[in-house]
Amino acid sequence: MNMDNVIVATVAAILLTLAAHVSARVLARRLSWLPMVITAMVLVVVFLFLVQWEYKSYYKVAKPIFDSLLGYVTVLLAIPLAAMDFKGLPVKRLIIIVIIASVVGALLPMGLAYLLSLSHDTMLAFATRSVTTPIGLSVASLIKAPLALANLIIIVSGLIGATLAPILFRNVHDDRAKGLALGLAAHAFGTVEAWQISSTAGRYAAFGLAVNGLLTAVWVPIFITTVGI
Amino acid sequence: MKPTYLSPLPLWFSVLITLIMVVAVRESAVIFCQWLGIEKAANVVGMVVMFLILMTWRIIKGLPSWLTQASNTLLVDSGFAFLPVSAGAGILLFELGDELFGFMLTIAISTLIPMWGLAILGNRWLKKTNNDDSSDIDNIPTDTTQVTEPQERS
Repeated sequence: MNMDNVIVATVAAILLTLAAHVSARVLARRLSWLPMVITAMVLVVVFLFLVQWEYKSYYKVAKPIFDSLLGYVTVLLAIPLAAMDFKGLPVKRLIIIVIIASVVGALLPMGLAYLLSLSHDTMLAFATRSVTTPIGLSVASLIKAPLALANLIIIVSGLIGATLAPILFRNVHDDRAKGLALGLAAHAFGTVEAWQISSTAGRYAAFGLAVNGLLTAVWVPIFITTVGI
Repeated sequence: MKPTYLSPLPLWFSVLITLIMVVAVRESAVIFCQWLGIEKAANVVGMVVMFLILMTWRIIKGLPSWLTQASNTLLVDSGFAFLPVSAGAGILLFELGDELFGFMLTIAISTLIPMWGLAILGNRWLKKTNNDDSSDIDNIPTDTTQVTEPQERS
């Protein structure tokens, strides 16, 4: 593929993705029960099928641009985190919730993977389950877990969490609790879904995602190296 | 630490300034991490640096409302950045073969049970606390006469 073709293909990939995103946004506004993230994802696959574009070729040209966007979103998450007001909030309890989420988020999937006799590589990759993609990939490379598998685990768990959150949160009425749980357990996808609930839920999700990511990025590599898993 | 203060700017302009800040910080982090040989940590380093810059800004002057407004606007559409990679997740899943069932069961249990438990815990523990998040743009008075200058705030 020459340079001109690469540019045309990249622009086409961006336009196709944008069309799916905008369509999903319009649909989510009209049908509030529709999870926007899943709708957009399905629309990308449908559009690729309609234009007969193989996913691998599409991803190859989209990757450089979208990897940068992923990085910008990660940096952007620092804004709601820094703007959060902890006045009147039980900070000690919030810290306990974050610690529980980080420890359970890594050890529960690893334990389950061991009990279900999944391979050693898969078990290691599960250590990254509860952190956002950019942080998860950094952790995976540090603990020598397969990056593609870690990426897949993060994406699928985020998708499952974001999709089923409305059902799980039927008895939860505080947007802060919903947002925090989404950010802690379903990372970036959960955070995107939380922003659809309200800006308060979105900020708490961003807080949960960022703090859990930073905490997990520190203790998981040390724990795995020390225990020798 | 100073609270968010009203600083009206057109939305397009505040989004543009925020984007410039984010791109500058992230690209600087990429260069710095490449120099240190830890390219994969660039996004995390960028986030931490951005957080430290904003906390310094908040302590010295307080964060302006346009920044929160712009980040809210941008984050609502942040899912766009994940679309290509998430579309491929389903395709990768079917390459797992015999491990697929255990893999999906592990993900489902380890995501949904903690998420439900954390939401219930959060709901109970945050219940009796103030939900007046001053960083919330909805809580910032729109009448400019009600807003004191940042330096006048405690």
